[in-house]
Amino acid sequence: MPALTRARLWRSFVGNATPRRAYTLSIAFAGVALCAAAGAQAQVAGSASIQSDYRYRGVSLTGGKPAVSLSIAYDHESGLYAGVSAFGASGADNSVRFGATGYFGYVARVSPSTAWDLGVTHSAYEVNAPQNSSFGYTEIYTGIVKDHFSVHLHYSPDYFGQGASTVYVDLDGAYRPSRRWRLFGHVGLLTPIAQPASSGSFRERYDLRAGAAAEFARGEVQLALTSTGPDLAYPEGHSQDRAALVVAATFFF
Amino acid sequence: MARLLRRVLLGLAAWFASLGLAFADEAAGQPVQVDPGRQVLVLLRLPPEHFRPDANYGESYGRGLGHNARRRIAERLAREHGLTLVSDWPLPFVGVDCYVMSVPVNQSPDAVAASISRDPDVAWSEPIRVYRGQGERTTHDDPLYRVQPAAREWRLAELHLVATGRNVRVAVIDSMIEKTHPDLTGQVQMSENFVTGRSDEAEQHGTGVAGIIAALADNGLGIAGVAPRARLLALRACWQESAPRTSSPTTVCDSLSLAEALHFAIDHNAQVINLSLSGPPDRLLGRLLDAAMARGITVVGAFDRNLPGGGFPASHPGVVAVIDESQGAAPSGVFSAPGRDIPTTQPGGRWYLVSGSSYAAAHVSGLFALLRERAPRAQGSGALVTNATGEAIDACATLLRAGGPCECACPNARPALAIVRR
Repeated sequence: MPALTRARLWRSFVGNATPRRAYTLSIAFAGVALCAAAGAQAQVAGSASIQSDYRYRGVSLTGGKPAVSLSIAYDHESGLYAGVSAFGASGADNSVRFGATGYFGYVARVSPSTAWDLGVTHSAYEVNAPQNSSFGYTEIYTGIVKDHFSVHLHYSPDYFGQGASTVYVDLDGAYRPSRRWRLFGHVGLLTPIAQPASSGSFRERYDLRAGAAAEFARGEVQLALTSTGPDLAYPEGHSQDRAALVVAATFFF
Repeated sequence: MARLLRRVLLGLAAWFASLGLAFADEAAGQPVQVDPGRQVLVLLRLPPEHFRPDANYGESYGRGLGHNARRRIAERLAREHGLTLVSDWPLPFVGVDCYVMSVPVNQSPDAVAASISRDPDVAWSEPIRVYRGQGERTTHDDPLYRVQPAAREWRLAELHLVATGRNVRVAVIDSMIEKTHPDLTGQVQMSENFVTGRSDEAEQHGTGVAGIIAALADNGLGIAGVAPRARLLALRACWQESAPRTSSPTTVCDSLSLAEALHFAIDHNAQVINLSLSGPPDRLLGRLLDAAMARGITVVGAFDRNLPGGGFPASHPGVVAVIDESQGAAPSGVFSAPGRDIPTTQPGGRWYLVSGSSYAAAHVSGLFALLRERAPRAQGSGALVTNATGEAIDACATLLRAGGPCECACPNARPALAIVRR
């Protein structure tokens, strides 16, 4: 199945969202959620990270270049939560130079060890020259979290603005071999369920991630191996390795 | 834009370097000497884990992004109440993040805990409570006698024809166990120290309890554990008050270290948890015990006649309460097991005689390891068979019943074994 051309890919992004609208939506998601759930029994936290690559579902959005990211998260005792996560990179041509995701959700314990999770995200991205384009898309998700494992199902009617509706299933887990170390793993499968002929081909793709984190008083350092397949042309002509070792350091504030 | 990002990257790198990278459980990077009598636990609500879109997000075990929000709340509470924040540890299995704060001498820990509990950001607060190992003074410094009461009363060798506790994970929450003791070599699958600011030297109580449960059998040394093929999780939550290797040290624990150890045991799939200690009831520990038992873990506790209801955790619903059989008739619902002049492992590669309900509880934890090998779902006191008086455990009958229907007791063990094998 032929891969998407770079031009078509980014053109489709531009065609489905305007930059200001996309960012406004992202921020509004989190802002409305924060206001709605303000008050006592609420927890607001932030984090700042530097990472050697920004890999989203196995794909580098920064052309394999380092990125800095900032996250703000809000959790209310009722189970409502919201947040914004943004990143920036001085990456290669046509890679993402700035991205932001706003999210809003609800998590409810159904037993002492199990919780049910439901929410929506909106993401917006700005692409480096020469495209200088922007795009955005929305996804809804639901899932189950049990102890240190979770499975989520994500649905997007217009994944990355490409006109294809997709389902993404991911399984995450973690194991703590000692008090200061955490091992984690992730498996994801992205499946197109409908796509117009004009959007080109969109193949099913898996991604894997496994790594370790050392936890410190106010931060952590992660080393993770990510991989995706069966092939990677994203975008075409801007090849990147299917597998990458990503180092990230995060400070919590 | 590129130049700006490079500057941000460099700035963040310098920021990290300035953090000193203190590990997560070290307050201000320094080990803290525990003074349980002057500390309170402040329990903040820990929201359930949920999806986050961050690229480098992984399940956080209660740490990660939200942890710092709770830390700020804890810092505010410490400031408002004149306390010092000592350390913290999330306990996601019971939905709380636990902060330890020391109380100045001019305030009562109980009053401080009651006041903090009224804050809307707090789930609850409680003073750190003290628990004591239920071992009496060691009566001899002599090497091991060749007599193990369980060898006679429980017919250990015959029990081991049916089960040896193969690969059953028994968490021993106690003082420091000597993992290199020749009778315990290879028996400890995992160990963790939840006591800070004290020597890491092996201690008597924990080493003795571990030996009764899982000392190697048929190795030509020392004793045979009740479950010699069980795998121990050696979780140090207690410490000796006097120097190790003296004849009569006291073993002390506090509710924070016990909570951390219990959480670790649950997290690492222990099948049996031995708690040879007793003290006052505690809400946090109670919730952790409930979480453990809800996951099918057997919890065995030592009964203390000097405390109301036998002391906690023995008094907690669902916990198998055990008393030394030499202490007279056991109260209703309490099981008696060998606990007088028990030879067992001690630090320094030696063996001593020990006495007390701690060691009776260890026998029962070992018996549950045998049971869980035969019947993985055998969990609580209902799995135990007692003798005619209803107090002393009939180990053979207990084990054989787990293997199938059987009208048997120790004297009939051999015919019963034949029934089991059919």
